Amino acid sequence: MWTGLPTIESCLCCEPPFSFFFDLVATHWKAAEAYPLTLHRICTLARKQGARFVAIESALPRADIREEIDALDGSLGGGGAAEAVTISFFASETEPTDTAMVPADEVLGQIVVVNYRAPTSSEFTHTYIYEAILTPPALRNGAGHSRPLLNNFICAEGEFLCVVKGCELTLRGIYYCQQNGLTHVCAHACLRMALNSIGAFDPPVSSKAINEKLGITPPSTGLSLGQIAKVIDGSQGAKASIVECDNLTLSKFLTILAAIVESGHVALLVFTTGDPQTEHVVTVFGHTRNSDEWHPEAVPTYSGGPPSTPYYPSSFWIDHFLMHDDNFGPYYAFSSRALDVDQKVRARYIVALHPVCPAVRPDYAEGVAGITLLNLLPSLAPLRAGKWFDFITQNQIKFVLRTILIEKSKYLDHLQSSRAHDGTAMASHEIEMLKGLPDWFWMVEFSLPALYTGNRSKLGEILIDGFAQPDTADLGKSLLFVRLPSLLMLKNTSGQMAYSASSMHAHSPIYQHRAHEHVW
Amino acid sequence: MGNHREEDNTSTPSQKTAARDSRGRVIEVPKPTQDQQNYLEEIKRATGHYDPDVVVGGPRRSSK
Repeated sequence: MWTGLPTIESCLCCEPPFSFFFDLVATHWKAAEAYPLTLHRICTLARKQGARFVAIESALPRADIREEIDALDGSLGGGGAAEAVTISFFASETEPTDTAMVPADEVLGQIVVVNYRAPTSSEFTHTYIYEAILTPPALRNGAGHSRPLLNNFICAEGEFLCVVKGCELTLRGIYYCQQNGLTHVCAHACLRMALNSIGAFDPPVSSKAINEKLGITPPSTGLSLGQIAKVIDGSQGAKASIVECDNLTLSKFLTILAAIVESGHVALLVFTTGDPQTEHVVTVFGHTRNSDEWHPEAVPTYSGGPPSTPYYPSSFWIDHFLMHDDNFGPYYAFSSRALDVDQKVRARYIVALHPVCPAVRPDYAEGVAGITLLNLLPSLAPLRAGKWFDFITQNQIKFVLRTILIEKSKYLDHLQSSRAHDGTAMASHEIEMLKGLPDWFWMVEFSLPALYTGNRSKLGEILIDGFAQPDTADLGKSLLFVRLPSLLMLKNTSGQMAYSASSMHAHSPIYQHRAHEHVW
Repeated sequence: MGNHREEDNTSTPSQKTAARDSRGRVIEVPKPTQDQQNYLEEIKRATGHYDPDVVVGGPRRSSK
């Protein structure tokens, strides 16, 4: 049994000259062996967002925290001592004496820091962020208004109930936590971050629950990919889909990761480190897109060589992915080239948390769609007329392709609500005939660089069967539906592509899994 | 359905084939070339099967 240590509760003004470095981190991060990178990162985010107050409370009354410390203490034989400190960050102008009165967007988040002293030690031996519920970083104008960071797309946010000074607050964000290196490691942390952010467990899953499910007795030296998959597969609404990256080109790696995030799903990204025995994993939940990116069109043109792909993957315009790293902290952006600059730090596996587990990977679906467009469009020219239809069937075009795993109901809703640039829309009977599609499929949207980057729109999409075994000699087997301006092609019961007219004649908005504001 | 271009005598042979097919309202999806098949086979090969016993979980990192 361990001894609970008291926390002096307070509410501090953290505007200058308050120093997060000396007045908060140095006070509450107590184990000298663990450098407080993560707490510094959290304070950095708080400072950037104009934090004005921090409320300090004890977290020991929480049952889940006591369970966490029980496990830690038990793994060291028992008899240690621990404190758990809740730190809540506010951007409110006045001291949050009654947090119920604080506007929701002025609560920046809440974290819990655990300080543990092993039974044989006079000093604290373990300090880590047990949990951090932080709202996604936003620009605050000081008048109570906040805006998401420019071009930041976060694919999923969890909703969490936090208690501050006795008041319940609901915070939305991506769950963050850190390993303690003893009862849990980075794999546990990433599973918790991913699964708790998508609401796959209620209440949020703990490291102890993960260990119990897997029959692991700490100390933990890591989780195997099979164990990671077992935990994901046992959750509500997520299945593990694992891709080995050793032989992937950077382009294909980015296509796969982008497709997961664009589909609204989180991913675990496993990469090598300088220690050949050790691989690390982080949680990826978003991206930033730069519509002014130069290289997608310019580099192939300047190189003059044969193109690496007969299309532009839309991932070419994604310059960063958004992620949590349990070792370094929350809400980092890593460059799409970050795992291509040091041979020791390379992508090994991508673990997608899709609601279903497709047999076909997104880079293959994208390839099938690209080749189909190339081969099929010229032969369609006689079938219809129309400005955009003529343009794409009478010219050799290198399209932008964007691949998304989508549920039928969401696809039909998307079509129902879509209005083309010229005001046309699909007729209800045209959407009705799609009711027989499978429940899930890959949707490969196709666009032109100017439309994709300027209008965020597309000319249509090709639906690819995500569950049939791929046949590279007969791509028709993979096709479910093709939508072009003015023309639809749907696979019939004989396996042939039957065509009919479409009432939508121009480009229409790309699919967005979540509303995505503040975009350039 | 506006398939008036079926009578367009400037169409290429492949366009005429598609036009004939349109009377039955079905389109034949062209078979991929050998280069295209190779491209897709390469994609399939590049993403091999993972080893479920590979252990993930490095120690804590702290760069002071």
